[in-house]
Amino acid sequence: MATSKSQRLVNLVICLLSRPDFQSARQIRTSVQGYEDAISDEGFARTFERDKAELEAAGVILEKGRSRDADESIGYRIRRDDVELPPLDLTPRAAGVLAVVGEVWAGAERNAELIGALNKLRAAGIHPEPSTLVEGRAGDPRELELAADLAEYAGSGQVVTFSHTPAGETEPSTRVLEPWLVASREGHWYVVGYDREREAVRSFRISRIAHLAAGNGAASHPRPAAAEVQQILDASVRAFDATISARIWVAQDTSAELRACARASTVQQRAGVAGEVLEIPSASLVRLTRLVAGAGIHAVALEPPELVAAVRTTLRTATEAIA
Amino acid sequence: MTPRSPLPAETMLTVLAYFQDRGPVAIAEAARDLSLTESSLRKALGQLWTCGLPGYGPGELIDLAFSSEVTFGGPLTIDGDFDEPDAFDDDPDLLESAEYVEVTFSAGITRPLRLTFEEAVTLKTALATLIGRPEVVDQDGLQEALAILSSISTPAARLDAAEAAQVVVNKYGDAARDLRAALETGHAVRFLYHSAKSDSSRIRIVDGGRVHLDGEHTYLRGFDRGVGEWRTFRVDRIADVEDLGPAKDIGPEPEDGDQAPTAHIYAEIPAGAEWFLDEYPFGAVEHRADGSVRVRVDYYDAAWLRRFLCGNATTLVPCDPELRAEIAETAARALAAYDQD
Repeated sequence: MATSKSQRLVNLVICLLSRPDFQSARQIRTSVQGYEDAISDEGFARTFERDKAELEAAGVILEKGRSRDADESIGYRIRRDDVELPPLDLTPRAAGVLAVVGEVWAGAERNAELIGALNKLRAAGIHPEPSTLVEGRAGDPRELELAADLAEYAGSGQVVTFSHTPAGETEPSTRVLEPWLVASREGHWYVVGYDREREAVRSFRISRIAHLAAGNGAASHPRPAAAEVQQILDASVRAFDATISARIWVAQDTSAELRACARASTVQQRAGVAGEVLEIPSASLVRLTRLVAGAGIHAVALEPPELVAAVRTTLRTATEAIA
Repeated sequence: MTPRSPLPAETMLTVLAYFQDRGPVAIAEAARDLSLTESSLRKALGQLWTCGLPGYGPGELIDLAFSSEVTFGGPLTIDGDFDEPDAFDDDPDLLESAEYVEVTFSAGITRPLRLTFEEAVTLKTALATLIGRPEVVDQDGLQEALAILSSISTPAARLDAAEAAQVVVNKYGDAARDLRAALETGHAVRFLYHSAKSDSSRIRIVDGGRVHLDGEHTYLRGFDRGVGEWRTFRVDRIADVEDLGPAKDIGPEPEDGDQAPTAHIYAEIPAGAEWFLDEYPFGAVEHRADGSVRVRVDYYDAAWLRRFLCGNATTLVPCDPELRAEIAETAARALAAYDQD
């Protein structure tokens, strides 16, 4: 039976892992089943080069060194520590998390990579058993795909281009970015990096990005320390949507969603209407504005002033939409 | 002509390491674990069977044992003597019909390969979507999984998911954690629910609950004892969760009772606010030449719709003039509360 390409590559890995000394290409050709079909030296050399490249793409690093072959000094071997997954000591609760991630992202974009990763962990003796009945999707699959792509480009130091439509604008603009960090905040993904055309550090919400492409050469702007990039991101996320603590009056038996955000409440009448003042320790300014304005006369923002201003703006806009 | 393998070499190595780790495994179970069809798994095993280093004596080639059932202490080997590399050719039916397979010699492949850069980034990104969602997964377990991933993937996988946790951790607080703990044991739960749909806050008791994810929100689906029906609750509106012990027997969930939105209106997102499309699952999205977007808003409850429209007045305007006037009237009365101060 002829040897398939996958079999040949498996044989090559087994050969280079099991021999302690460096194997020359000539030695490999005679001892690895699958190369005997090569008719010419050139044909073998081409196949062998392709195989090496394919293994390296799969993370199998071939170490080069001096072989014992008198006719050919360059040899190859694979060091176990370089390529083998080290022993993993995962608790059942961490394994349970891996099971859930497999469930909620199955079949989405980048499924092959996700399955490849989880299969290797299973083959390493981790048995992810879901601990909760969980179903559904953990986020927008397109956002996940873009986030993973951008993280890859950030990791390999590539420059990317994409079109971006910021909040409050209609026309997308094309950006050229050296990506530094991809991270999620409050359920949304962001990328931070050096914007080549604006010549400044910029953050972008990934859901507002489209037409992502790499291939504009290598990143050249110095990348700040990881902690600094984190701070840049946190600052711009606050600018996108501030997190505030607030005091809001709500009428009795209304405004359930606002109550869900509150830590404490005190009974208080307002203009003769029974109700409570809610203390909200931490919530998004945008969300609170929507809820307070949406509640109409049943909720009144008391503090902070930026919430009061935002609610008034929303209500005034609604009154002006009669036309 | 080089024949094609059903699987890439990388996957074949993972298959080999998987069987090496497990001992005898049912083909059906292994196929499920590895997300492969049984047929391609059998073909891959058939190909692995002739891999190794021939010409160095017996025991240098990968060896498999098959059985149709597992007896205590290992599989019942039908034919243990497979030293000849072409034994498979002699009897292909053996692998085709075997229900259990064991790798008895793996030619030195004992561990799977390290995660590739792409695999590590993808798994980290997917894991990061569960940060700050204690109702879905145990957050300590999540941090543990992320930390171990960092140690087995290249440092270039610059997706600092673990750091993101500091910002959003305990978003839902103890309630979400208590809820998951109770559901894990299959128990009934009692909690205070702040309903946005009916704008009320009431105590609910739910049997047979399970967690449903939909994008950035998490829902509890279960049988509401109070109303005697299946209901869906948004987890970030749940508070004061109490474990009530074993759940009542509730029978199967009916086909989608209260799920589909019952009504809809059309509305316009003004030019410049196109990003608002991300914020709600609008239907029938129509981009217009002037930059505005016409959308369909599906809803269950008329009062909810009015709160939604008034709260989002800067980014969403109903097309119906009567509804617009009604919202404007509501807003004007609300605005008066500020002006009287």
